Amino acid sequence: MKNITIRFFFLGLMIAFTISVLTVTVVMAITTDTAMVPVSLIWQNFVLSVLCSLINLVYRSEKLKFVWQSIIGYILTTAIIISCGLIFDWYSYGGNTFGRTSFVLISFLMYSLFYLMTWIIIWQIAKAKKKELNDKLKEYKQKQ
Amino acid sequence: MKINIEQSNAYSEVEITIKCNSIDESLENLISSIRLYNSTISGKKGDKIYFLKPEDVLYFDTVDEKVFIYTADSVYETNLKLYEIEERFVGTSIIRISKSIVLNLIKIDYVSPLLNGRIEAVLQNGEKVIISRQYVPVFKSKLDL
Repeated sequence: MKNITIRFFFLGLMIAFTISVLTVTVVMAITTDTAMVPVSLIWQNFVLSVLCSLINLVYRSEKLKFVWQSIIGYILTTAIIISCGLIFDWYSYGGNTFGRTSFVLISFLMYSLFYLMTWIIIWQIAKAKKKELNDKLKEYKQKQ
Repeated sequence: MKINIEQSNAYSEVEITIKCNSIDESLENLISSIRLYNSTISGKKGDKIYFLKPEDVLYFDTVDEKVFIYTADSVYETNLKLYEIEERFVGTSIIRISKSIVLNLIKIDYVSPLLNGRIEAVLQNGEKVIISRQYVPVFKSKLDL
């Protein structure tokens, strides 16, 4: 079980790191004239990804209901993204014109949109899984 | 399939012998039904001891190291340990679904996957039990998934 949790952590880290680097690249391309993403930003993204992956472990809990896991996960991850932005001073990076409030708002909206999209995909997968399981259960009960 | 029944006063108990070339799925189901028919389970309620048919049991649950038998309308206590119940009903529709519950699959009304790897099973009486991640593969293999 511990191995599965460790695998879950590294899978989350890989996904979070990829998404955060892509997001930073897109944001930088839109807001600055810089053609390269600096190494310092990559490291900061890595720290953010590690923290997000740790929070992601809340979904492994068997004691919490899924709705609580989602609420806790959403609040903590949003807080971490905004906090990292403030600590690493992303809002004024490269002399961009974003104000602190605008940066917080944009981070919040981007993450919420991403969270919503993920939720819709997971919901569709779960719906298909539920149908498959119940069809098989019906079949099993008929055989008995 | 030929069915031979010998009825005589010489027999004190029912004995079933199956002669076959190989055990296929339908034969496995038949053996499972015979096993269920053959094993009653005793449960205590108040001062009385009841003999219950396994097909009437919804699930077995452990609370404070005591094992309880849940049927549609009653709860009984049993001296059997959960692993003993699990072993007794090997090959039947009664399987372990978590550290503390052994469930009769026939009594499930429907199931819902919980997105965190677990499955919620809603029973025919409306009760909900959780199939833990550890036992989801066992449950799925029972359903040929």
